[in-house]
Amino acid sequence: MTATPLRLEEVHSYYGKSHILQGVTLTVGPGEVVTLLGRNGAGKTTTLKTISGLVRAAAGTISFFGADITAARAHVSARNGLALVPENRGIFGLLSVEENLKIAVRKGSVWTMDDVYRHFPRLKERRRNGGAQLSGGEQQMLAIARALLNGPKLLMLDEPVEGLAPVVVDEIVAQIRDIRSSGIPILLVEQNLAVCSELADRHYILELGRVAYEGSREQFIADAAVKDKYLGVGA
Amino acid sequence: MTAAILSTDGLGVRYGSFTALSEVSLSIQPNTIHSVIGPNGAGKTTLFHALTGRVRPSSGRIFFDGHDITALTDDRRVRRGLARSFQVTSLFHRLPVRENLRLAAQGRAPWQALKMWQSADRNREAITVADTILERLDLARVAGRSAEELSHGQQRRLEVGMAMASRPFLILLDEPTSGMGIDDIATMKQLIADLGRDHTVLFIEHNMGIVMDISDRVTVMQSGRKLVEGTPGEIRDNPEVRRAYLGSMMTGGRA
Amino acid sequence: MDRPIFHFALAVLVALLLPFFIRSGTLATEVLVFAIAAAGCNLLLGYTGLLSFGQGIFFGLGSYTLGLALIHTTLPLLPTLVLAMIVGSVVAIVIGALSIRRQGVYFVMLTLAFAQLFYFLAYTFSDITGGDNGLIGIPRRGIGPLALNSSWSYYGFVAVIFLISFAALQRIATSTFGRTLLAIRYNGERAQAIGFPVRAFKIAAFAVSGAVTGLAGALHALLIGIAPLSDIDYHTSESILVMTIIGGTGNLFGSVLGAAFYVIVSDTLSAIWPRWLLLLGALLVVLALYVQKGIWGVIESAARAVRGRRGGPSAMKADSAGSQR
Repeated sequence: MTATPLRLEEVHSYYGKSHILQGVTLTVGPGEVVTLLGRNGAGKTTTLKTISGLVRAAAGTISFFGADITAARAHVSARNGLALVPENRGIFGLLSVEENLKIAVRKGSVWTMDDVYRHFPRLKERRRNGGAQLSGGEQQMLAIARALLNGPKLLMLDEPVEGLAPVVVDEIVAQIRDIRSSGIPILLVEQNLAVCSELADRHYILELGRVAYEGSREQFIADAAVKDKYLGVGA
Repeated sequence: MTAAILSTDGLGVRYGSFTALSEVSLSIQPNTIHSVIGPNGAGKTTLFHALTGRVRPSSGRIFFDGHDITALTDDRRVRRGLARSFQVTSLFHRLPVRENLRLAAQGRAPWQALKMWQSADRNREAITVADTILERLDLARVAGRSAEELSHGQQRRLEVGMAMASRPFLILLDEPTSGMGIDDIATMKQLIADLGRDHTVLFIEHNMGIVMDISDRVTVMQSGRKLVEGTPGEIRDNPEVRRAYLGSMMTGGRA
Repeated sequence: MDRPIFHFALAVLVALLLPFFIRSGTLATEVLVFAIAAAGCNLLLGYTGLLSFGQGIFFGLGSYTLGLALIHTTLPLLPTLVLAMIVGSVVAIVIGALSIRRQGVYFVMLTLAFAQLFYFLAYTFSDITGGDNGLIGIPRRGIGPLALNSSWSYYGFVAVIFLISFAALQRIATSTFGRTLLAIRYNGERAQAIGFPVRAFKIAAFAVSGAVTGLAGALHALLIGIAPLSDIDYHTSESILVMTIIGGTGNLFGSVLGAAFYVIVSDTLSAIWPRWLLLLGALLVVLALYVQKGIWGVIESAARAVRGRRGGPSAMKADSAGSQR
């Protein structure tokens, strides 16, 4: 029986004295795509940062495939297969696409450069271009590809389709679906409801630093009141 | 119908090629509590920066208390009666709480602070204002402690106090309850409602409970524009607002 | 430990006791002259948070002003000192107003650039300044019937001016103005957002600092009888800063300690070892790493340890190593 890829229990974290996460409990199961929704200020990005270790959890526990990573440093978790694609993508603008990718290659990863170029033909075309010259969508693909080259055991994405044109959104959604079918569990923070409904097995909604709702794909699609209350202005 | 205390006409802010705010026309009635809400990237904080003078608008005008203040710097707007609090607490952390408020009170008449020979303790007026606010904010107990020693809730209250101390007509509060626990939120909600009695309050919030409960009017922004404005009830039932928050295929909008 | 009157008493003590510990009247006077300069620098650094490499400009200009006035005019001594203060202040206002258009490192670089500019101006206009040789032959005019020819009588004169300057700076530091400068140092953005025209206050701080530093420069020229080029060069700016930092940036009396330390140590060590500046550098590193509050900070900690009680929130005087705004 495989260990749960990710489990958070009553996690609290702060920015200085600002109490952002006030007891977050959630899980990501094997092969699942789970989305984390919520209005601005609810704590979605902080949750991802706390999991990855960029922000130190003040209380609660985080376990990654059974191992306690609550106090683990970010680079250690990353080495162990916890990949985060942040909102700002983190592309090295001065390096070429190929160089950005080569840095991330890890021995023993299921994904190789060839796999990446096959999955993201656009990146192959632009492989000699500088990172800063890419469009928003291409940068997002590069960021995801880089995470894959690391051979992640869990992938976390922070608003991957924000600010992208509909056509590009479709492309990225398709790529995420492919990644999911390769078996990697995914934790997705996203505000775009259509994207969430298409991809996710389960949804969590954060409100004021806590999980206010958990539902399956079907439950979530059907429940308009919940969406209004926690994502809209229905309070 | 009374004249608006604050109004803007086609206000726009551009950072290079990026348009953060465009064609925003507002009209705020005196002694009302007016909230500004909107999804990610709506431009709410940019609006505040433009209103307080921290950034210069690329287009449009701002009128306050009958005067065109578009060209005024932020410190001069404070002296006209327009004050703000910040989303990320920005106090004089090493100084005592009372001194924080005394400085904020002094800011209404800063040229008096150029008196290099007058001891600060002789500053009766500013000290009195500071003490009054300490009482009103329930911070009198910690008046002598340095600001950084306060709890988060107390610091957020002091943040609001800094805006109150210059005795403004209009107070802008940027996410006053950010990072607060339930109890502190309730206290802050009461404080804002209370402020509305003798000030005009304009505040940005994500906590819909507070927004709907205490606002007289709500302005909804999206992608740098004013989407719609109305009473809390009108906003709650408005399908455009719903769509703005819950989205369609296109996201928050910086394509 | 915190009260200004106590610090003033210490300053008086220093002025009274220096002659007993230092054989040379000239050296003792030099300590007080640089104590004034360091205190002026402290107003900018410790109170306003501005790290200025331009103090040498005001020091040197004060020096030249006094020299030119005493050589070419019949102005009595006291008015020439006032003139030096005015020149220092006006130049400081101009340089300050231009430099504060940038923040942080760029501000520092601007002050440094101005320092270099004025150095080369002084070097080039050698008809006025004496260039490399400096302005020589400055007469030590007395005040009315009071002659200041002997080194100890001059020391007495400088000691009185030192105490007056120290008291004046204390007054300024504890005034509403001084408190506003502190606020600007701690959070300039918020100071602006609560209504203070921060630029104007920073320029005012420069004005005061320039006046005080100009006065120190003038006294220095009178002490050594020449206005040397070195008074306006980079090394003077640097030394004044070092004295201020070593002494402790938040406290005016710290500047006195820093100046005393630097002047006395440089005098004794330089006779023994030509590379004594190495030691000074090492000391600065140690201070930066471990004793950020400078010599005064060490004394404060020792006093607290001896008394066995914790000092309260004493942050209403600037109490830590200067930060850049």
